[in-house]
Amino acid sequence: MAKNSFNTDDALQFESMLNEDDRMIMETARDYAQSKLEPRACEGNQDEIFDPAIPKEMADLNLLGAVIPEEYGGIGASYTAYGLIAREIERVDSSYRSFLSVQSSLVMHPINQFGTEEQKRKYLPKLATAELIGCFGLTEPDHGSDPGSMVTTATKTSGGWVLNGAKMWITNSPIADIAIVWAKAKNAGSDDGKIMGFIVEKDYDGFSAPTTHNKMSLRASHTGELIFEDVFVPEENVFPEIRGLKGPFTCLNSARYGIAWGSVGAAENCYHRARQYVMERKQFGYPLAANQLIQTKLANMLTDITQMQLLAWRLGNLKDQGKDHPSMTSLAKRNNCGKALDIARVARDMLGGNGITGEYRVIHHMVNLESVNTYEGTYDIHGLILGRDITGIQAFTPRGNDMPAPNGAARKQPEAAASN
Amino acid sequence: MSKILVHVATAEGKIKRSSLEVLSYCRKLADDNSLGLEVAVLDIDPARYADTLNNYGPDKIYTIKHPIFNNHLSSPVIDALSALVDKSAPRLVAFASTESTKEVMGALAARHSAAAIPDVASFTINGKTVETERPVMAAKVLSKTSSSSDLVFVSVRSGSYDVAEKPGSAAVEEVAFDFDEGGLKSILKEVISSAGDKVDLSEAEVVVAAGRGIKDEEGRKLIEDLADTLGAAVGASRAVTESGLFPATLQIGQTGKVVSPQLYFAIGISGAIQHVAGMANSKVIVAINKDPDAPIFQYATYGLVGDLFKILPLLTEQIKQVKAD
Amino acid sequence: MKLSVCIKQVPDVSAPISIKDGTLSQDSDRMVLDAYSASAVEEALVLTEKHGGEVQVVLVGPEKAKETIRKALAMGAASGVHIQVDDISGLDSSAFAEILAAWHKKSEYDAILTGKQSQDTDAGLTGGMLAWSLELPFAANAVGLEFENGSFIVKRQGDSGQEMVELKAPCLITCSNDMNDPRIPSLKGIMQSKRKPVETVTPADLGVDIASLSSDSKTERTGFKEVPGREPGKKFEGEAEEMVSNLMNLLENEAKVL
Repeated sequence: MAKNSFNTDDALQFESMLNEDDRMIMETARDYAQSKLEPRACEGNQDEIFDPAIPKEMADLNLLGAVIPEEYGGIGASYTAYGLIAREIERVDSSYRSFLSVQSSLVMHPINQFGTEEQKRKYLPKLATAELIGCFGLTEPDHGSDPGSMVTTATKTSGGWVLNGAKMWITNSPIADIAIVWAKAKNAGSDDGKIMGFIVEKDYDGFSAPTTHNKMSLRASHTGELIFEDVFVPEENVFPEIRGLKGPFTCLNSARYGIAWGSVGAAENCYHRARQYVMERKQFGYPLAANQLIQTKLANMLTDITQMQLLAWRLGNLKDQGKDHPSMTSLAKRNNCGKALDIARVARDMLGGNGITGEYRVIHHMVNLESVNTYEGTYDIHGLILGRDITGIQAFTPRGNDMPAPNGAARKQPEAAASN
Repeated sequence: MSKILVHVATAEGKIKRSSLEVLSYCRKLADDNSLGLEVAVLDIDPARYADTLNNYGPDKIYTIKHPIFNNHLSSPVIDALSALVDKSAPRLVAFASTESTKEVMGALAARHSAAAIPDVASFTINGKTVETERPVMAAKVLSKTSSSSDLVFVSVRSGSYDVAEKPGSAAVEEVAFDFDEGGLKSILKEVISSAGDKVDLSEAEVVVAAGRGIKDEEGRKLIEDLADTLGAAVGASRAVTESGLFPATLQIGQTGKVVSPQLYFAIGISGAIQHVAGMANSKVIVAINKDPDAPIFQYATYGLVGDLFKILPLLTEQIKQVKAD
Repeated sequence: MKLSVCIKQVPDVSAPISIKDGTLSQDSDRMVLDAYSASAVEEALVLTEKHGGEVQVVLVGPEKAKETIRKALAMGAASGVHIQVDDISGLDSSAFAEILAAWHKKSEYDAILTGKQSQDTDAGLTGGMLAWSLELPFAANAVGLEFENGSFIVKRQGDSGQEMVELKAPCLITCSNDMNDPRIPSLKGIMQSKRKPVETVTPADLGVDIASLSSDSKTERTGFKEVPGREPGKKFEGEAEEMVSNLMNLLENEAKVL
């Protein structure tokens, strides 16, 4: 054998830097995704099916909330392991990874981080076993990148809070048993106007979660709204201490980290399929792969993927050492999703007409990645977060073009998308 | 004179074609290397094969006659073959690579402190050395494996050599075989033959094999109709045996049966390398697949790109006509 | 019941392979639990879940192969034995059998399970050789396994049907990958596997001289080569009727196989 090898799936051998636990967890996720999810992916996307057996299957392998401590139903896995799981699941379909991200990072994580001991004991073990499915409500119909302007309110009342408002683009909402909801406190003394977190159960009066239809992306994951019409939430379902956007942003930061890894899996799969296709497909008597244009596309893909892998791996390392910063996650999420989308589009092109059909799956990844590049902080918003870090100047709002606020009051500076 | 001993496998009164392939090749190999060629047969009634065997020119035919050989059970087979190896004292023992051979070869080689090289695609003798090529790494590459041992066992994949007659008139020597059935630590309780076993897949002259493109019962019916019309054995790729549409016993490939018919139909089979490893020795391969880029077309003598649900009824009908004429 | 499963670590055969100057070059250096071994582990776990007892896995291989033992432990095996041999490239089936026999001569078991072959060499000799050394009744290519009244009932895939063979314990069974669908270890299983005992021994501890095993090897691998391709054939596209009549013509008149 040649002394040193060049692995065209893992050019700079990042997998060799993983520790044994993380590598074994990766293998489990890969075996599961390839043997159980891949056979369902094409049809799931075509017919908008999220097989209801999937949450339990993932739970049986302890893939949900893996980083949560053992006493609450997790296994205390590393952040690197969590990222590797996301990568393997998204190698099949971003929809399945979206389910897993929401359950793990946006539901289990905030309960573990901000919840009372009672809340943790009540919800986390059942979320880990998928007896309960959760969703996360921050984004509103008119407030996406700018959640600080949310209009959903929580009015203090005797023994609890009354929620009013609506949340939109909520992954898992139609199948969720509980929702982590962020709303602005009213009638709350010193907490007035502050964003607070609530655990809303699906059978609370006045709460509904209608499905969002006609999605052209992430078709195998459930998306819907959360509508609150005088929904009473008892005091024991409020996160007691966390106030402000820090709460939801902590969750998003964790989910974005998973997405940075997940998009690596989607990109790798597109590259893999494109490479196989151009090696087999012959035109003008030669495999497509014998063409210079094709080869440089493959070279670009591998180069990008290698960077994405190393970025995700390093970020995981820093998280495991407690040395991460949210802007690092912004950088990785932005880079990896943007690159993955580019790779998917190029792969789609390389497959010619076949790239249009579902069987080859690259167009499936391509349309999924349009969502992945958008949700949890769009590509551009993360650019602005980084820009603010670089320059010290926030550019979320247009300067020099200040428009009067509707009520005539001076417009206040927004607590923008990522004031973290 | 040093010798080659060929084990000849039989089933239901017939010598297996794969054994005749090995015997034919070994006659040539023996001639080229000035070696003797002897044959070993274990059967309930081995004498009945003497005439057939003499068409292939062995110098001697050793037989062991015992009712236990009506079915395969490893321990008596090992004892009997071992006795014949002692009797013949060859330098090379060659087998057809059947499931029965695969079961006994390791133990037999260990018993004789011999080298064992199983499942070869080709072999030859070069002076003191037996040189072979055999597929490894999921049949992706051939390994060149050799042995200079005093005694070497090889088993040969079916279809690796042609059957070629060379008439002779060897004497049959029946070798006594003492065998204590009561002392057996393993007992054959029963043999379950499924419907799919009505034509022995690995010996069949024509095989109709189904792949993932056969989606349902309707597709299976089309496969069975074509096979019935041709008098062919039915085979399947791993994908459709896993789906339960065809029994696992029909699986062709690196982990299933190795077949080498005169005519092989690959229907709705994409042609994964592990499947190809089980059928690449077929003489004529017909592939029917809707995907023009399916790897199976790289192996096909004749490839039809199209919908098997349209093609098969037409094909079966036309073959019926030819057979009727 | 105590079951001993001999497992092997093999290169990931699904990764691309090329041959350079007669030697194998693999893009990925990923090493995995052999798929046939995995089926043997799975079957042993199913049997002990049904009848009680425990599963021990035994592996011959380098330091790096510990990870493969851990995989089997994560699946549910109770303990592991690592017979550490740093370079296994010179060992053929009979050498593996000799090392494994030396271990099993000192250990207790009701049955030894192995894969029917391993994915890297596809030889399928070690099981039979090991059974011979230990004087055990054995059956190969099992697709089903039951335990009744102190005997193992093996369903093996034979040449003409499935043979039901009764083996008195102790015995040895080699397992087909058609036998079952090996479980994927859960993350809990992976974490627990760290706490399960793995005994590391050397061949010397077992009285086996590894150097002479290598030098006395009866077979030698002299190189690798590509699998020869078939001659290019004829490919038809178009109307079904026309393709079928073309095919019939060729089968009858060119190939002459009808």
